[in-house]
Amino acid sequence: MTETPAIVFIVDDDASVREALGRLMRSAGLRVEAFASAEAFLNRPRTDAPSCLVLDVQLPDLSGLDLQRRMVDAKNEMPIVFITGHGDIPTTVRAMKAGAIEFLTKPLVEGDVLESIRQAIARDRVVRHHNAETAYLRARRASLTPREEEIMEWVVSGLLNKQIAGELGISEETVKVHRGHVMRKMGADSLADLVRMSERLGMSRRKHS
Amino acid sequence: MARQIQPTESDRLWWRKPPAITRYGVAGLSVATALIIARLPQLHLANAPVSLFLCAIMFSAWFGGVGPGCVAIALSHLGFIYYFVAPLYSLAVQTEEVPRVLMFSLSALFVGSLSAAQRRTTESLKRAHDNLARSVQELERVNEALHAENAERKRSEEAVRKAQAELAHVSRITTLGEMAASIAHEVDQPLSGVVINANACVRFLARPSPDLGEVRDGLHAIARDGRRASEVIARVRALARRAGTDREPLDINDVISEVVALAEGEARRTHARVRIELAGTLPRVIGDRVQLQQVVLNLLLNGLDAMHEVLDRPRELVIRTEAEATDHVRVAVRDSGSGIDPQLATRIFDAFYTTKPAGMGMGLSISRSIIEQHGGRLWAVPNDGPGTTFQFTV
Repeated sequence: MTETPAIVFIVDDDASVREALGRLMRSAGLRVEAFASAEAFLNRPRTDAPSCLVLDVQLPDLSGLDLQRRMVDAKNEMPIVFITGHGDIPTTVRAMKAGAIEFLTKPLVEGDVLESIRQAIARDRVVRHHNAETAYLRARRASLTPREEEIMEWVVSGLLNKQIAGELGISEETVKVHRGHVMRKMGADSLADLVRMSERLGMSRRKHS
Repeated sequence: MARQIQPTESDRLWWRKPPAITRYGVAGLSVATALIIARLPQLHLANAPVSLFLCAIMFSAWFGGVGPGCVAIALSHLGFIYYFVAPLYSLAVQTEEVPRVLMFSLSALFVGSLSAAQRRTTESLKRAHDNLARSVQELERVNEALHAENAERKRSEEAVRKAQAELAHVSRITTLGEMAASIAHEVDQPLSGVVINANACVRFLARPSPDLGEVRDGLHAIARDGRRASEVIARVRALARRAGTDREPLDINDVISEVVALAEGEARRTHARVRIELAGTLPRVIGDRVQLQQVVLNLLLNGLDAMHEVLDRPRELVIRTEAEATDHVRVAVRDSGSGIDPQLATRIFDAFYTTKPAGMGMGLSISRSIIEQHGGRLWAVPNDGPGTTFQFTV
C-alpha cells in the first residue's frame, strides 16, 4: 500500500524563519504550505492528506494558542509542533494540555525539527487510519437490519445461538442465519474480530436473564 | 585685550603743577629778568619796557597760575613806576604820567588774566583728557569682565547641555536594556533563518542529484537574513552612541522608520500593531538624529505600554508626520490605550513622575528637553476616542 504524501503546514509571521523552515522541509522530501498568519491558514480548506502544523506561538492578532483552540473547537486533530523564541512554562503547559505534540525552542536544531515533524505526521497517519476504520465500521453497522443489530449485540455479549434463540423466542436456525448475515455484512473473520469491532463502535452489551 | 591709554611720561612732567615756591620764584625771576633787560643800556630798550613786563606777567601767569600772575603784576608795577615813570627812582607818580600807568595796569591785568585763563583751560582740557582716558580704561575693564562672564555663561550652558546629553544617553541605554529581550528576538529570527537555510542547503547538496536551484535560493536567503541581523545591531549601536550634540539636516521620516524597525519586536511582544503614515514631502529639519530617534522611541514605547491593558479593541499605534508652517515638521504618535487621567496630565512631563511599576519617570521629561533644545514643542492631547496623542514639532 502506497502512502498518501504528507503536507507540512507552517504558520509563522516572520518571513525569514517561514521561508527557511519551508526549505528545510522540502529538503527532507516533504510537501510544504506556508502561511504568514493564523487567519490565512484557517481560510485554507482542510486537507485529507496526512499533515502536521508547525506553528509560531507568538503571532500578531490571532496567537498560536488561539489558533490551536480554534482547531480543537473545530475538531481538527492535526498535530501541532510549536515553535517559540522564549519558551515560557505556562504557555508550554497550556499548549501541551491542548494536544501539542512538541514544543521547539529557538535556536532551532535541524534534527529536532525534522524528527518532531516525522513523529507528528506518523501520529496523524495513525489517527487518520483509525478514524477511517471507524467510519468504515459505522457504515457496515448501518447496513444491518434492526434484528441483525440485536443479534450482534447478543453475540458479542458472549451468548450461544441457543441462548439467543431463547431470549428472542425464535428458532436457533433463524439465529444462525442472522448471525451469518452479521458476520458477512460486518466483514468479520471471527467472533473475536466482531467483538473488537463492537468495542470500536461502542456497542452496548446484553445481559443474559 | 584692552589697550592701556595713559599719558606719556614727558606729558605728565610738563603738565604737573610745579610746587608753589617754584611758581612764585619763577614769577619774581621773570619780572627781575624783564627789568634787567629793559635797563641794559646796550639794548636801547629803556623806552619800551612795557612789552617786556607784559611778557614776564604772561609767562608767570601761564607757568604759575593766578597767584604768581598777581605777584608778577605787582612787581612789574613797582619796577615800572620806580624806574620808568617820572619822577624816576621813586614810587610816586606825576599827574601827567597817571594815564600811562593806568594803561600799563590794564594791559598787565588783561595779559595776566588771559594767560591764567589759558593755563586753566589747558589744565581742564588735560584733566578732561585724563578723565576720558580713565573712563576708557574703566570701560575696557568692564568690557573684559563682560567677556569673561559671557565665556563663563557659555561654559555653564555647555556643561548643562553636556549633562543633558549624558542623561539622555543613560536613558537611551536604559531603554535599550528594557528592550533587550525583544531586540534579541529580532536578531534571533534572521539568525534562525540563516542556520536553517544552511542546513537545508547541505541536505539539497547531499542528494544523489543535488537541487542547485534550491541551494541558490537558500544562499540568497542566507545573505538577506544575515544583512537583516546586522541591520538590527547597527540600529542598536547607533542608538547606544554617546554623541547627542551633532546637528545635521534630517529627513524625519527616516528617523521614524529606523525607530519603528527597532521597536517591531516590542510591538509584537505586546500584540500591538504599529502603523506609520508619513507625509510624502517634508522640509528637512536641523537636529540630532540620535536624540530625535530617542524621542520617537520614548513616545512609541509609552504608547505600547498604554495599550497593555486593552483587551476589547485592537491595539493600534499610529505615527504620522506632516509639514508644520513652511519649514517645520509635526510628528504625532497616537495610541488607542487607556488614556491619561486629566488630573495627572500636567505632571507627566515632570522628571521622576511615572505610572509604570518599572519606570524611571525620565522618558517624557528628557524627550521634552530634547525637543525644546531643538526649538520645538512636545505636548499631549486626549483622543476623541480612547487613548492619547503625543505630538511634537521641530
